[in-house]
Amino acid sequence: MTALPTVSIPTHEPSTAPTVDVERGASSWRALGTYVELRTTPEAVEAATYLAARVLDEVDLACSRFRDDSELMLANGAAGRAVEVSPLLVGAVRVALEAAEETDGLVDPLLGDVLCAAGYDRTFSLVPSDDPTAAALPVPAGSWPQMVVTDTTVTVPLGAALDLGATGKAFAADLVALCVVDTCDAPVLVSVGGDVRVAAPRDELQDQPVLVGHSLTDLEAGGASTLVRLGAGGLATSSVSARRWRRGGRQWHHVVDPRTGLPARGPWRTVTALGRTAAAANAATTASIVLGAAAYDWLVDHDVAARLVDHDGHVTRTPAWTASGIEETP
Amino acid sequence: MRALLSTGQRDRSRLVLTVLSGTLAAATVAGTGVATAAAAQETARTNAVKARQKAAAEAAAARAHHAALVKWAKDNPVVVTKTRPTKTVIGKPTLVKASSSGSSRVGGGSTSSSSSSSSSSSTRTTTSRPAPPPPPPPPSTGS
Repeated sequence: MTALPTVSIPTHEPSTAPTVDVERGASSWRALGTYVELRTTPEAVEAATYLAARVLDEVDLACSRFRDDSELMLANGAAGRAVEVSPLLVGAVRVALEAAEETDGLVDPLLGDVLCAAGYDRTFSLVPSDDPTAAALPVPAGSWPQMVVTDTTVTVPLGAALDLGATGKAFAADLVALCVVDTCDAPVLVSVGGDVRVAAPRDELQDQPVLVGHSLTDLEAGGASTLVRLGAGGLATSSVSARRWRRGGRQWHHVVDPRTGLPARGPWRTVTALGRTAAAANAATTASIVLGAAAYDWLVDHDVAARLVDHDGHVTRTPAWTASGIEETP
Repeated sequence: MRALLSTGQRDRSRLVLTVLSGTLAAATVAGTGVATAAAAQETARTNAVKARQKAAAEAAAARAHHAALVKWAKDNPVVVTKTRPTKTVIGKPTLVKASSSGSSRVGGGSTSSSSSSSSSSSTRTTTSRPAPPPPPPPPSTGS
């Protein structure tokens, strides 16, 4: 009898080799299923890029929902039991839980099963753009307060699945920036899928330009954009224009409202915010997309500098954003 | 002396005797066959019943063994150790800094420190060659 050939279905997008422009201190590549951009000094760019790529590979191995050998999948597979994991996953989960607490659960790290049921069970580039199959959607349990994290273990509550899609890339940007500053002693800007962190040793930093837009595809097609100049800290953008697919006749995007278990619906197409870290900025933008019409008041109450663009292209800025003076006037 | 039977009578008697003995022999063989078949059938039926009983007993034992194994596995979880690459890239102090309390606290952040903009490459001033144009600003978009 002839053995059937083994067919392996890919679910994970491997990172690509960085392209380095030494003269201009810039590099770019793909990792964590998204784009990565790094800016530093010409002298440090090669070492910083090498280090950043290794850091992101390590984050991927710890935090990916799309590879069976990740620590996150190990913890999901043992739901209800403590699993020994690396300090990296412990750190990522702590940041995610703090974001959940800060936003009263609007940024919920336990929506993995909802996203899987909706078809987002592999790296986004491999998700079918229109799958007519009906989806049996679980109701989110809101069980993130039941997650247990110690210095060496993570326990995912039974009936839930951890997904660090919201805060994971921002945490990775923070990590890369701090690693580069500590190791290369050079100023750095890193953008991991639009979650940006700027850092420098001894506050030797000049403002860095960042182009804010709805999605990379939209920017490349000449869509609306705004140039901002960012000092030390984080900046993040969340948009319902990115990572969109159809499942069972319903239009999905990656920002899920944990109160309904469905894609967040609201007036905002894209929200950009500042924060002390990229993770803090991301918590604000994700919460704003989920909150919808109530986002502006929430952002003002929390003194967040944010810029909100609705589906018609109208821009709303919080007072803190206007006061920050980071937006270039055309 | 006159024979008891005529030649014709003798031949007929011999024929009748041959037919009778042949019939008897055939009847005997047939009877033996029927009896043997009946006995074999009865034996097969008995064996089948025994085999069914034995299989049922073995299945019950296997089920009980499986249940005992499941219970044992539940009471004695086995830790499967997976070989992973050594993690040495991210130092612990950096990791603690990145995930310390307050790292996800919203609000605050960058403010424009100067009106003059400069890219990172402008820090290189050791060459007399004109500085290359700055790299394109990195994007911040939904992703």
